[in-house]
Amino acid sequence: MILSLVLLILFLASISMGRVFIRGGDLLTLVINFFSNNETAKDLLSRELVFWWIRVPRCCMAILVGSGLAVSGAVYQALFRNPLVSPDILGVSAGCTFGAALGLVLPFDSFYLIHVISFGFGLAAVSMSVALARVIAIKSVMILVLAGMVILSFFNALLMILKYFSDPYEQLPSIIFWVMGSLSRVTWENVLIMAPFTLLGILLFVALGFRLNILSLGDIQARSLGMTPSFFRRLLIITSSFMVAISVATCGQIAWIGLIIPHMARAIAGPEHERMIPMTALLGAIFLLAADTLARTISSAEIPVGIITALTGAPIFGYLMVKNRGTGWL
Amino acid sequence: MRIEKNNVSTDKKGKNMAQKIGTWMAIFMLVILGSGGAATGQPRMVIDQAGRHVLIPGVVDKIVTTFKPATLCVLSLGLAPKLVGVDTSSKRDRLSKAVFPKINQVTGIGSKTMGINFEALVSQEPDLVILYSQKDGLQVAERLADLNIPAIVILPETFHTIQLSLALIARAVGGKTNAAAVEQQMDEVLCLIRERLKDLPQKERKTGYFASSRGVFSTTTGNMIQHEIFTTAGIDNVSGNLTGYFQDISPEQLFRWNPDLMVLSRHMKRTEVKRLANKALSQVAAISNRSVYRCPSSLSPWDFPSPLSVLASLWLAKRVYPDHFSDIDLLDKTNVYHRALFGKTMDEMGGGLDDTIQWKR
Repeated sequence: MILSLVLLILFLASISMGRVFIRGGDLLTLVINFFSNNETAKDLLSRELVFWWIRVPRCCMAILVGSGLAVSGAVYQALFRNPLVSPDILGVSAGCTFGAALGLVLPFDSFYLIHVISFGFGLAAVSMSVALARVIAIKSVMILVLAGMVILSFFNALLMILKYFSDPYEQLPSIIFWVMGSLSRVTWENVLIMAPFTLLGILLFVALGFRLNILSLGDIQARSLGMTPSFFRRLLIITSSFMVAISVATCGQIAWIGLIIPHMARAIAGPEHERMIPMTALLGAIFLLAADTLARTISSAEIPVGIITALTGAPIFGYLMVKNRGTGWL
Repeated sequence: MRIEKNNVSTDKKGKNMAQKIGTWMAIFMLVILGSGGAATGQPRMVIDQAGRHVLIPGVVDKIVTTFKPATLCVLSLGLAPKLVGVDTSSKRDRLSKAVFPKINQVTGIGSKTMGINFEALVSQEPDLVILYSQKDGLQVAERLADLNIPAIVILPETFHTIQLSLALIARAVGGKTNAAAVEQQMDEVLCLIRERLKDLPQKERKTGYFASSRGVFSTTTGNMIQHEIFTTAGIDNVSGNLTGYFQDISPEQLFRWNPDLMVLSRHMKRTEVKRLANKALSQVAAISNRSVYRCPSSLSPWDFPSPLSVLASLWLAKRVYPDHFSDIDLLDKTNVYHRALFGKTMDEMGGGLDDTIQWKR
């Protein structure tokens, strides 16, 4: 409840801030005009466009991407019973990024094609990580992380090959821009595509929260409680991978959220996924919304949001590791 | 206020004049001091644009270029037959292929962006390597010096430094080059623009925004050639206060700057251009006035550090202040310019301005 309020306040603050100054009174007029279908005065027209067509969709997208990535990380950590996994570490983000980059250099130049290829490679990456860990067949928390690193390196290498062979003046700049991660290109169209998948994904995870609790105990316990673990595992992996893919294909790679936010949520709400998943979604949304607001308002040149998430995420994760040493967390 | 503006204007004129004199003095000194050694293939010392002293031991018959501006400089100097290695992207460049069809057979040695294949470069046994100053350019130059391969670093980021780069290459190669003709062509174009815009009132000056090949929200800074293209064309670059290489901005920043016109990089992808049709940007002055252009030409981009960059200023000045250039036939000028530099007109090479954009979604 408190976090929902924090998110609401942050959202209101975020839509009030930006490189174009809009006075409080004008903001109120714009909101009233929008809901009452009134015509906006000519001198307010450009501010209306900035507010309703640039700032608000961007803030909405930050909430969707932040919550989507964080929740995907939480689901991965539960499914693999491993606090160190996240879409970044299992290679999903790298796979999605490679797919998106491939979509950018293909001749069709289609927004939807980029999403589809990104999802395909993201799913392939997580499947390869899990398969490799199974082949190694040592039940250690670190094996899946190491397998993920192998796959991550593999897809990063593929991305490098793609960058090497792409035209340095036409294709490479767009790939680099995409990989850096930014919400600056967001439109309402992107939000409308992203919103149903993210919201349905979160609802599915909340609905399956109890089953996630059982799956996090291991397959033997899950079967003894009458569950079909392989079905739910596949369903949850596909859904969370799709949520990551659609984020990457829309905004590029934004790291750390899928790793640290679930830990923060677990510390607040406890390990039960029915409570922890909504908490993770809220914290992820708050984190990315705050980071993006900073990224777009500090200076005239926009700071890549990945820099802010890494600068804040890395010390938080370091602190969590130190704090939880000797507790069996690692 | 008027006095201040006049002072600024006088300062600019003085600076331009000083730059011009400096360039010609530098060229003169380089030619005079180096002419004896270069002409006879005697050893000669040059100072490159990174301040390195480089000894050229004799005749230069084999040249390797490592980035596109260097290749374009070499081509404009009439040194194409001496190329034994080029940056890989120049092998695909339409202008390079039109000027020097055999460029397909020249060894590609990598690129500035993705790295140089040092072994491929050395295997060509070049007499001269032309390198960039960014990234690993200086380290590569030092490694080549250890192998007794002369390497010069050029820094063509302004019209002035492009001219200095041309003079430096000509001096390092020695013998007869097209340097004087290229310098003259560049100066003629710059003088023409300055002459026509000298009485342009401050209040009539337009503001402009350059979008890079990375996307609509990636722009040039005050340290880059695109900034000089704008200022020479009498346009105030809205992002001129930024520093460094290309910088990303938020869409809101674009609104805040509200430029009168926008120039898109020649290399910008079609999907990025489509973003301009987004309703969110419709109130930006440049977009609402449909004053958005793609930088020419279809043959080789002018928004790029090369001897062709001055043509971008002329094109832009004529686009924005047509009354001041009503008697100028841009295509004719462009053809003359290309012929002086490359021996063929732009028409003959199959190029065109191609500077309009499609507004359909």
